[in-house]
Amino acid sequence: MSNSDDALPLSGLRVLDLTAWWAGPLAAMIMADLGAEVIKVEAIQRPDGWRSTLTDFSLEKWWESSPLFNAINRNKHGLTLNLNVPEGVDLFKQLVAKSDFVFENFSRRVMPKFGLDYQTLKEINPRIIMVSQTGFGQDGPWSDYVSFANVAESLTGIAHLTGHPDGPPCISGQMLGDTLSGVHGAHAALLALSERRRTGEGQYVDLSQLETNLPVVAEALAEQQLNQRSWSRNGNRNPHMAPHGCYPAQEDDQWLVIAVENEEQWQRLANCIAESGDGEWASDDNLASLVGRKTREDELDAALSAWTGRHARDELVAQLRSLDIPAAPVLGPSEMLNEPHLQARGFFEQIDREPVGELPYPISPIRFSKSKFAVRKNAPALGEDNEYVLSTLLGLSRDEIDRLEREQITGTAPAFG
Amino acid sequence: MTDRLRVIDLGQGPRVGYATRLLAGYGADVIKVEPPGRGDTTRHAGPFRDDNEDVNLSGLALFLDAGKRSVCIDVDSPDGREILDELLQTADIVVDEMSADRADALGLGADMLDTRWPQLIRTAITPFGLDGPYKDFDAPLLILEALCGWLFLSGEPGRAPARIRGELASAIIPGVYAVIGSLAALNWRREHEEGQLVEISAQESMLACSRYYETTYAQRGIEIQRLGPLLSPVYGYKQAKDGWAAICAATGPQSATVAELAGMAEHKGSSLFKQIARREDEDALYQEFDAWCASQSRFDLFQLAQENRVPAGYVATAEDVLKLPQVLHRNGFENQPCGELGSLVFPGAPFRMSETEFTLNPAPRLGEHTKEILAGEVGLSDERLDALIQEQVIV
Repeated sequence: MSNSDDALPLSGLRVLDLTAWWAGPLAAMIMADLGAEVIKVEAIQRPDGWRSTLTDFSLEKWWESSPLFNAINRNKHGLTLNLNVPEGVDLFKQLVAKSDFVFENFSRRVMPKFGLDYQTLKEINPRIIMVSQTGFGQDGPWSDYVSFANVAESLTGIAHLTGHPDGPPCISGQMLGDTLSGVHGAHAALLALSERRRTGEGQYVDLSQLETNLPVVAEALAEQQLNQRSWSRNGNRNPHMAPHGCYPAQEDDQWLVIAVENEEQWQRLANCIAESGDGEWASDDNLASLVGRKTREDELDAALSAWTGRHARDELVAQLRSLDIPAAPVLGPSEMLNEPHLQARGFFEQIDREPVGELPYPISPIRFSKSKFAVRKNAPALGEDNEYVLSTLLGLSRDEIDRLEREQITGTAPAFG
Repeated sequence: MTDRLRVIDLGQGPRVGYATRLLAGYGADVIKVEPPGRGDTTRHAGPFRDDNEDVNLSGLALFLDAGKRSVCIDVDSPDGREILDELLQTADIVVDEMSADRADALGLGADMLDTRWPQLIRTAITPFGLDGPYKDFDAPLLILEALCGWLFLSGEPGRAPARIRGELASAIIPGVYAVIGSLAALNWRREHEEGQLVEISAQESMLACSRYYETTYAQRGIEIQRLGPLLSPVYGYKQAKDGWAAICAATGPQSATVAELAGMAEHKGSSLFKQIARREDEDALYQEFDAWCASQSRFDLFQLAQENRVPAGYVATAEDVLKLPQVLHRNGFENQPCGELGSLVFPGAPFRMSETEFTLNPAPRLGEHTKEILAGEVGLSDERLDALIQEQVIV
């Protein structure tokens, strides 16, 4: 095993990553983590918007401080190139000739406006695989509309299914709408790579975020068609388990989940409740069956909440787990960093990057027996690898490289206005 | 896909099921190995017509298993294991959710792969991965969601966190990562002529593509809270006349546009549209904006915002989803024959490829292809098949 680039599954492949924000960069980072050489292309006139999200503007190089940008662009090289001028476009085309993939997540009119539509790229390099990630796809009545995670989550009905029955539709804090688009971008690129092995030719991928989100609600669509019943938010309930929910602990705003899968688990839970001196309510024979518990689920959840609310979260979870009753604390970000299982697996890795210093970042969730994930490179500083790309890959002279920077076709600091 | 990949699905549940659905859709020959009699857990999940449980008519399984073939083998019997081994001889990829011990028992453990199956790619999707304190914790989804940070982030502030309803939301992400890992391992195999073990922890995969709140916390001390319907007054779900609209203004220009559309252009500089902390003396503006939203239909709000380059949507019910004009225009649904249920509409391809099709045959009945595969492709004799059926090793 080795951590060098040639010992990873996608070693020797090159990706041009024109994406910004979240979903596109996730797709390209997956490719980078798998060993491809990913060149992230920004313009100093228009750096990735993620650089100014959750940013520490008190720092001199504030654009290098966003935890979101730094986490989603590791293992990528950084190039700046102004694609609004012909010379920038020409340099990009030279890179296309030497690359395997182009990822972009602009609105659908932008790449043609640059003169970089798929037909053009294909003429330069018939092996190129181009992945376009848009909100709604390349055709159709809404194809010029724009999307963020919650647009897709609303239109596909995910929002309608998130929250409590008596409350509003809720934003999924993990922004599932974006990540589904992101992971499928990498998925598509790898499929096209498989196909290229056979045909020798690349292809074009038209990815619509809306369509990547639809599968989440397949059950609700089936229920609608089978029984004309409309699913809506139901808190945390499950048709096959009860209790199945999120319950308060003694501590303020701390929660635990309990999911009782079968009657044996319920019996052990009922005994546990009785032994804790909480009366005999749980030992009621009518609650011994799933049907009985489902019939009185509101009452059951209320009584269970009252009971859990008298116990410290972690002690109660430990006790339930010792009885083989599925339970867990509801962990937020600060606690996640100390979660023992993730720690044992080394899931958060300390990485030092200027100017923010050493911080924990999650590693790749794909583990291979024949190669080992490594942070080979930090998220790139703006234009960090201009020299490598322009000189080593494209063979430009010192003078030419300096001129490009003077003319702000490249650069290493944002140039707004 | 190249040379028709052969994939064996040894999984139970929606994570493996979604991974192999994707592989089948884009051209792989997927054989789902199920326990005789009960089959995959998703066959019992429903939804069922009139709530009548039937292993061949579960909505979730009909969606997940489309494009696959089903063979029933009791892999815990010696004969069943032998047949499984013969099937694995023909496979490029096996996808399962077995713990390390379980895989050892079936001869697919990490140490056995290189000697017994040097060309095979085994992709294991388990709740918590193959090592570490939780390696044998077969956690229900709700437990997993609590331990990967998703549940904490979902729901209203001050109330119990509330998940996304259904089995699929947290199954899809690990499933897609499993497909990515499998295809990457396939690329490795072409270069190095060897298979390998690909390990996916559902917990890690869900955490890896959340929003890096842990790093943000470590760097900035910012602890994200549940957002409820709104990230800011102009980003999130707003009550419209006939339901909920989604207005997602995230940038300065987008917020300013929303102010103009609401007839509140003169208040562009207020906290409402500047996405800064709410100023109490501006309460009336918030009320005015909410009242404007509530006076419009959700579709009108969506269209007005989008026509002015502001990301927007409306909160769709299942009935609305089935009528989404954009999806219908792009043929984004698959019309799937489902036996006596007639045909059902399910989500189709997650992306379009110019040269590679996404197609799915109807989902198989439990064990529908047992004979076809074991006689026709593994080459078992009729006598052997009959004997195995007698012994309930296969069905």
